[in-house]
Amino acid sequence: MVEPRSIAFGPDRWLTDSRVYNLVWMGRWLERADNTARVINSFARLAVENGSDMATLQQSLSNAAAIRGVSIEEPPRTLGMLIKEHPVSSIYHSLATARGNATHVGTVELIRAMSEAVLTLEDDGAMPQTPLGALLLTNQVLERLSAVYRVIDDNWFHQEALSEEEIYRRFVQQQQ
Amino acid sequence: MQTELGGSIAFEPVAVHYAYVARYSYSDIVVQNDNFLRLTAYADTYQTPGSCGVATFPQGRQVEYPDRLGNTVHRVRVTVPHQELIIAAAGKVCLNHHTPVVPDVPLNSADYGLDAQEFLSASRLADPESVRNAALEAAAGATTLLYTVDNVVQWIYTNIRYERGHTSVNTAAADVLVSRRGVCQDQAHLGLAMLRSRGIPARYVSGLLTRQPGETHAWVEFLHPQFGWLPADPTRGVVIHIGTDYLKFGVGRDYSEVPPVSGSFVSRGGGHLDFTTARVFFDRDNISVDDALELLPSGHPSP
Amino acid sequence: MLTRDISKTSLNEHLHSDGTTRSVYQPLIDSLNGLGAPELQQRWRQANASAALDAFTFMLDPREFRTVPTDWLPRLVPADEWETISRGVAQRLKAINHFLSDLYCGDQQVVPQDVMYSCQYYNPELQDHRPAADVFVHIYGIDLVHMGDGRYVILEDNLRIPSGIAYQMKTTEIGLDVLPELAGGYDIVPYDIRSAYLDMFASLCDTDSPVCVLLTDSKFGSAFFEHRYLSELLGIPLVEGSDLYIGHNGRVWVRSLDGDFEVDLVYRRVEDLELFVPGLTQAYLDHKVALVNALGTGACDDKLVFLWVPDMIKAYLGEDAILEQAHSYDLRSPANRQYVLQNLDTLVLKTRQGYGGLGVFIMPDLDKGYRSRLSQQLIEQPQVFIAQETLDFSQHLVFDESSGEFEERHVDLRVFAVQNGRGEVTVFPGGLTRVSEANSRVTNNSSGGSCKPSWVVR
Repeated sequence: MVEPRSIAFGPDRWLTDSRVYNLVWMGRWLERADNTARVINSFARLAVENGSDMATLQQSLSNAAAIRGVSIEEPPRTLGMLIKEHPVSSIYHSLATARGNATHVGTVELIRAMSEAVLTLEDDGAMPQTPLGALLLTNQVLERLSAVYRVIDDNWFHQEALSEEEIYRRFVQQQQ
Repeated sequence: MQTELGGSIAFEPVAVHYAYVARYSYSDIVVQNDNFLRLTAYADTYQTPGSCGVATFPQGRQVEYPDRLGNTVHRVRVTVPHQELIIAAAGKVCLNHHTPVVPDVPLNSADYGLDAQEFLSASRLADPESVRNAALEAAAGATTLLYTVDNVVQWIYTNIRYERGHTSVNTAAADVLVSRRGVCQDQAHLGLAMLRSRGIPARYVSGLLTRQPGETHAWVEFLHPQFGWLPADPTRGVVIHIGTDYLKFGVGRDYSEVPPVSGSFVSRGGGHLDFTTARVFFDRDNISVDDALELLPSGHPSP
Repeated sequence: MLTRDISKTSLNEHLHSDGTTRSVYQPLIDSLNGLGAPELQQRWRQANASAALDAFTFMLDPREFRTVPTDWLPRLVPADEWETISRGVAQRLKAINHFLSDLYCGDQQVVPQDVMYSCQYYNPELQDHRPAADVFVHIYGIDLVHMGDGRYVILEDNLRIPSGIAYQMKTTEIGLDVLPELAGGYDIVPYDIRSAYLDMFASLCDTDSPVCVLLTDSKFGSAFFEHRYLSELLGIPLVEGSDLYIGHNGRVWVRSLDGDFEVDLVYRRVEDLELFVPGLTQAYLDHKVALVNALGTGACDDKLVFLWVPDMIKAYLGEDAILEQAHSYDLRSPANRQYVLQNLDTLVLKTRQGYGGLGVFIMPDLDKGYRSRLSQQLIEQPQVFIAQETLDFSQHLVFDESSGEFEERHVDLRVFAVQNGRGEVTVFPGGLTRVSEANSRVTNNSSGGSCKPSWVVR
């Protein structure tokens, strides 16, 4: 037991159970959103470079999704599913859930950066209709995600704080 | 024992002791259990309560107060975690063997005043409108108070079969009329609705039958413009002259206002009444809630 | 542009009863006219976006991210009107606190026993337990409506876990940020919630720098925004029930990866403590931890107990109530029941234990079928309800961002106050103005209403 006054470190150092829980899950959801965005981004870039059409892009994304264990029932709708509609695996869902975790973790700056990322996908009219559209949208998402990572790196896991691995290790230990 | 005294017959009062116990079981830990107990002898001309008390196991903090109808309520809040709650009540009461000689009055002449209005209108389980035609039939053309009460009580006694398992604490008078069966509580509700429908203020009584141990009983009271509230029991076909057979805990517009035990608990699980019984003793000198615990099949709860 | 769509039936906050503009609103109206509708639409979108970015939420459904609908046009209360409100709120808070102390540790004679003891939120286990510094009500929320000419009437008290103070701050914060022009010509009376709360916390503990935590129900709770906002503002850890446990020394501990730590005070934002932290009630009864608000305050949240608050003020302070309260009917009385049944269509029915707009029925605003069902329920279970006069309280301009038009909506005012361990009361100027939906007089956020910034101005 450390002595009580250790909480004087300030809000970004309270590693209460519930906060660590949200930290861990926020990280996982962010990573998932990041992964999905990168997969779409790479395939869209290839499609733009090769001049392939939307149907081809949808099909290759569907295959890629299947490899990751996400089965899409209607391959022609894969892009939409992966960006927004899939209730678990879409970028939108992953980001929104990560933002939910962020509201518990704080701070306002982080919540804001996360919200910016979610907002890029909020507008249904902006759903890409072409491979180029998909490329641009995922570029935007990845930019927003970089902004989130900057907030985390700059303000948060500063020198005296625990590393992510350490937090995760202790979390797993405590759950056992 | 009995002597002639003017027009009425006087009997010796009888002092009795009662004990009640109930055990509730829960499927998960209960962290807070808040109960309102109406298990204390009521004071009126038919009975005079002595010292009465309630207790729960685990123990909780109690407050005692009279509710707006004059019932003694014990509120007990248990804040120790538990998965089983025992509620016990015990007390002394003098049964006065009251035998009033009551004049009959024409129904349409009775003016009951504002205070009686709530006993004429619908309550949750006894809505006069819902039994209007049957009440007319049951009253069999009676135009005076006592004849009407008598006819209604006899009609229920004859036509509603006493049968367990078909009704619940939420069964309303109208349902009883359809199914034609139920327990004392249902017969009382039908009685209330019918009497109200005939313009007679009526209320529900919760208590015990002193010579039929085992469970709580329910009957009704109707309002006489000069004599006040008088008892009538549709289950047993008895009116006014109840001898020393009845021990009254409380009154309400129907069961929902005067259940022996009502309350709420905080838990992730559910609960159910596991065991309950009651007894009235004619031969004891004293009683305590510990004696009520003796009525449990497994004896005392472990401390 | 402000003269369109002004309803003539109710008082409008920016108008006198003769239709002339209240002087306090003149600079605001000039600013609005100066900006013009297209610019206002633009700013409204900006403010809404800002609210979304900051996750300024009031969740009705845990699965749905929902920002608080806000009308960014401020409601203005002149400082002299506020003076009365502030004194009235402080007076009421003190009287209620005296009453609670007498109820649990004395022999109160103000409220009839059957009313008090049948109240769901009365806690028998608190008998003879004195909270730290004898303060029961640390944070108080009171709902007022304005009847015009500075006459404010109390609709209800919120004493358990009143919410909204962070909404009061955030609406003003975003509003001023996005629409600084609207503050032109005003000296807005400031307040310092952080200092008042931290001072109050410290005054309840034996130590000078107590360890305090804010106990939330979870990030899925409706007012979670407020929980995390206050946690950050006050610099105290935000904890869930599972983070707390009772240690071997009987004190409350927080589980933490850095090592567990002891807590002196729990600012609790949950109702059923025992469900969240088993043993917390006992730790409190053993004086091992301070609770804000104390347990037992809910006894005065009961809508029936509300009827006796003016008597509490008389009995404990020897004063007359500064603020009047909505005239209410105790339905235990047969005469009242008869009156209410006969006049039901003009009254408000409230359930004794309701909160957040639940269990409030404004009869004149309901359709006939609904009214007759309620009337039947009232006949069957009069003890569940109280009846209240229907007040034709004030409306306020709201701006409809999509049409670019101004409209009128009924508004109430929830005012917050804190009481510290020295018995000093601070009432925070402004409060949270809650706005009804069109054609409704129910203003609670739980019922879908929106809110607006409120300024006390000199």
